[in-house]
Amino acid sequence: MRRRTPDQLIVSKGFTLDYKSHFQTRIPKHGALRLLPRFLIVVTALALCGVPEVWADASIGSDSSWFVDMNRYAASAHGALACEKCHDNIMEDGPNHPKTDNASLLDEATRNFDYGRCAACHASAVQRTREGAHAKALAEELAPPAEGAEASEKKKAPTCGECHSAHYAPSGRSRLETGKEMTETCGRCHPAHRASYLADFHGRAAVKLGNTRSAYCSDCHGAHNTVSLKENDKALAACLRCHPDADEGFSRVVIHASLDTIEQKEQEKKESLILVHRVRVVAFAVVALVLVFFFGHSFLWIMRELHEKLRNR
Amino acid sequence: MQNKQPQVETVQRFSVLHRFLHLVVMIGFTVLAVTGLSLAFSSQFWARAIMWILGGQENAGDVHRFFAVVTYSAVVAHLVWFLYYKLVLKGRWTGPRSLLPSMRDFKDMSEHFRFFFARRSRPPKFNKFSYLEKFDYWAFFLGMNTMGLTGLFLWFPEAFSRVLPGFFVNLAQVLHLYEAVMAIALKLVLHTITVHFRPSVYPGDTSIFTGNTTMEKMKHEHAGEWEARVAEDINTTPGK
Amino acid sequence: MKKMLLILLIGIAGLGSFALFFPSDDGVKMEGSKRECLDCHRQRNVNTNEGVIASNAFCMECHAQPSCNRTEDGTAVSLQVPADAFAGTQHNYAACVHCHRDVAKSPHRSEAGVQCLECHTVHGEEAAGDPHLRVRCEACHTQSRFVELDRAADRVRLASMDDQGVPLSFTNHKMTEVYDKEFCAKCHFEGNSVGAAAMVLPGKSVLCIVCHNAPASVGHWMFKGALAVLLLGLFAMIFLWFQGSVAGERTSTHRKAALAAESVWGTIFSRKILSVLSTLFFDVLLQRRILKESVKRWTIHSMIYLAFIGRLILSLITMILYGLNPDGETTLALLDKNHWFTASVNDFLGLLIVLGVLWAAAQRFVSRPKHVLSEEQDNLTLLIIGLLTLSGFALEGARIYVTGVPGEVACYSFVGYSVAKAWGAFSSDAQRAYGILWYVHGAMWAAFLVYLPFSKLRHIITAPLNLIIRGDEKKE
Repeated sequence: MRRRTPDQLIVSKGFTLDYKSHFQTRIPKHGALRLLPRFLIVVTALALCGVPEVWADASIGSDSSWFVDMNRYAASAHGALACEKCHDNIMEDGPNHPKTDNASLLDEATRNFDYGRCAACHASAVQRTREGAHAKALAEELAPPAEGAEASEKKKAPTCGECHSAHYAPSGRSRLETGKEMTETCGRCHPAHRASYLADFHGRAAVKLGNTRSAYCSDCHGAHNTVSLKENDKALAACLRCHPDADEGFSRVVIHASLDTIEQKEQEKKESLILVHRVRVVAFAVVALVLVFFFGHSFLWIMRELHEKLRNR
Repeated sequence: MQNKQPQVETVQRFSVLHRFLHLVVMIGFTVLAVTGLSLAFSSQFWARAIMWILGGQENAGDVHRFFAVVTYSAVVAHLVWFLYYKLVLKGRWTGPRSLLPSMRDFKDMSEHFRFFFARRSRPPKFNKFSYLEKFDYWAFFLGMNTMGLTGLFLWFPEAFSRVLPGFFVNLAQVLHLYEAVMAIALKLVLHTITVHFRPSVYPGDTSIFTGNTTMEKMKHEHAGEWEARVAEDINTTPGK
Repeated sequence: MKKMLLILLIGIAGLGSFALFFPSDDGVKMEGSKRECLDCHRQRNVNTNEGVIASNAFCMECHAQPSCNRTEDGTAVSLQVPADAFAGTQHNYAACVHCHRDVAKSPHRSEAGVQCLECHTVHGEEAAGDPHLRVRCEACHTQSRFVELDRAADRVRLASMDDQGVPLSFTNHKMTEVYDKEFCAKCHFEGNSVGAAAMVLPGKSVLCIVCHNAPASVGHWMFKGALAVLLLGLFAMIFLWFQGSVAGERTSTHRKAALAAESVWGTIFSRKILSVLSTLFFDVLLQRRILKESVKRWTIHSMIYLAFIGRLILSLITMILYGLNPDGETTLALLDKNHWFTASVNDFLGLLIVLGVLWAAAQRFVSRPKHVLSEEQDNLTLLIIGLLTLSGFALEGARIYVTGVPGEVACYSFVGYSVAKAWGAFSSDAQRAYGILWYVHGAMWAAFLVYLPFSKLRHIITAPLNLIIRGDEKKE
């Protein structure tokens, strides 16, 4: 069978272990009595119009600035590292400290930094990134344009710094926090995919309702080796990680089911998405008509009876 | 002592089975609506609050599926009863007391609209079940089946995608949501309003819980049925 | 023993915090000595004066130099910030990065522009009408006369070049004296390209609260006059009432007033208030008495009356929310006429009024049922309300057309957007018409208020009073 060959599951390498440790977040089924305090807390919270912290969305931002907030830096994963550990080549007296002429000031920080340095500590992550689609896109972007070719309007490819905040990213975050943040991080460049993921069952359950057994972006697409799941066998490999009974047909369920990204889809999915969209329009029209008719009907009925009642009083 | 109480002539309108099924469906449908809407509107904080009370999205899903089975078994029980009624009791399923839609219902509806617009002074004489009650019944009966079918798709997507194209799951998501919104608006909202808050029944009609209605009420709400009953009374008890 | 330990601990903590708060050598080192990374790149606390000075020193290392410039089409534009740019202004102790929030980075370029809302709130109706929500703060508040419309962002902003194509420098940070209304004219002139009305229109009046969010001032003389006439009329009405007898007293006006006040007081602080409240709710708010007459008449009356009430409630909520929390998400949504909720609700209610007026007119002039006694007064009332709402929709359409609201936003104002399409098809000078229509619409409302005490419209005031008094008598 082509289903579970090891190389197709490489996406999940190093991931399965983390995943399992988070299986325990669910409350036991027969813990109804334990849920009573929750009920009371929610009622109190609603009465006070406050929102408990659990519902607040994780704050996001890999803010790049010339100024480093040392409070946040010290609390971050890299907080123990001195500046020189990563920036030794751009010390002020060094030759590479950015100059203040107009041209160098407009350079992108994430294009100037040599992210090969990250490999000193994050060897496998850098290695896996180099194998992935993001690195391919970056290589295309940085390659000198072919003779006569027009500059293409492609999206900017990401370096490490586009996704990770080297100064502020905290370490040891929970699966839920990581998942929420990655939804926003990936969504900065893939907003339509973020939206369709959040509209899908996976996104609702995982991000909005905090069910960590549901899938976040990297659970299907891999983290650093960013796999496109357009090909069905790759998609199936991703499905199988959580849906052991899945087969060929199951991988054809459209997850990012929005018309915004329909141009990127395969012909078959395009057609089915258009069909689903048409059904949605018809369903909306039918529901609207039925509701207008019957609510109007009852409104008229009630007004008429009120009138009769007032008159006979 | 009892004789001093004014005699109100009561008539049975719903059997114990029907009252029981209504109760089951009423509770089941409400729980389904609450858990389902909490998933559909999961970015709203009240939805997260409900999910949190239920102990997470997966528990809420289990509750939803449990009550789906309960609610649908009411539909099955109703079908079984219908077969028993037809085959064993040899009951009739047509005629003025039936729930089957007929031409008369359309006429009743147009007459009712004439009443709304003050083109006639009294509402038409409804039979045992008015056109709106029949609509409520059939909308629920058909709706439960489509909701059940699309719900099954979403419950067992792996199994269904073996026989059907994958996008049927997407289709089921769309239809399950739209049908749910329609059912909630029609049943939880409009059915409650017309049955309880309509001026002529306010503050509520308890016949679906007690099973009984009075002749007085029937004369007003189901005048056709009332006339038929009065006629039967005269025929069966000639001395009266 | 325990006490000793406690004193020791406090002592250590005190010394430690002393060392923390007064580090030996912090601040920006001057040129010459070798600098460490964090001498420059530490983020300063710009909420303190010292933090501001240290943070600005970083920026001014380049921006104080005369050679600091950018090149635009080969022309050098100075980016030198004069040393005294902020002397004597409110922004004297503001850090550069406090307003220019996203510029201290590589690439050294701002995406969001200058940020004012960190410290300042958006204007409500008081200072500038709501179309100004799409105008960036600096477009009005800096002295540069050149503005442009950024179609992609749907924002009016400062132009980077003047009308001759010469790039502009804003580094003197000179701000407009906003009490000098001359600065309005940089947008509000005939044939402007930013989608402003051709004339500077006055602000709304508090009288507009019945339909629109309004400031707490009477405003234009048109409304001042209308208010004066309205108050005079009401006074005359009350005066006429007191010509009759009050609780048996016939002559002394003072006695009459005292008796009336006594009765009002006695009603409010007794159980009678409950029946008064129920009358107010059912008979005044829900118009029970008209429903008793006929469902159709109730529907027509409610389409006009309840729509006005709905808009009144919405604008009162907006006014109160703006007072409490001007930058709140809900407040901004309600202030913004293009927000889908505000736009669709206001359009829907306005449409109800128009349809109600048309239906009433049809009753009066076409179908003529027996109970409708067509009087000149009623016809004039209908005409005023009809013209009021129609001019309102024409005005809304002109606003949408002139300001160029994108279709996917404007479609929620479903009536206004259709009118805007018509403006696009037929009109040549909507910027001018916008101003004229504004006055027409305002004048119609002024006319309504002036006409109110002298016509059947006074039932708006008398009918509720009558109901309350009559209801009171009935109980007794």
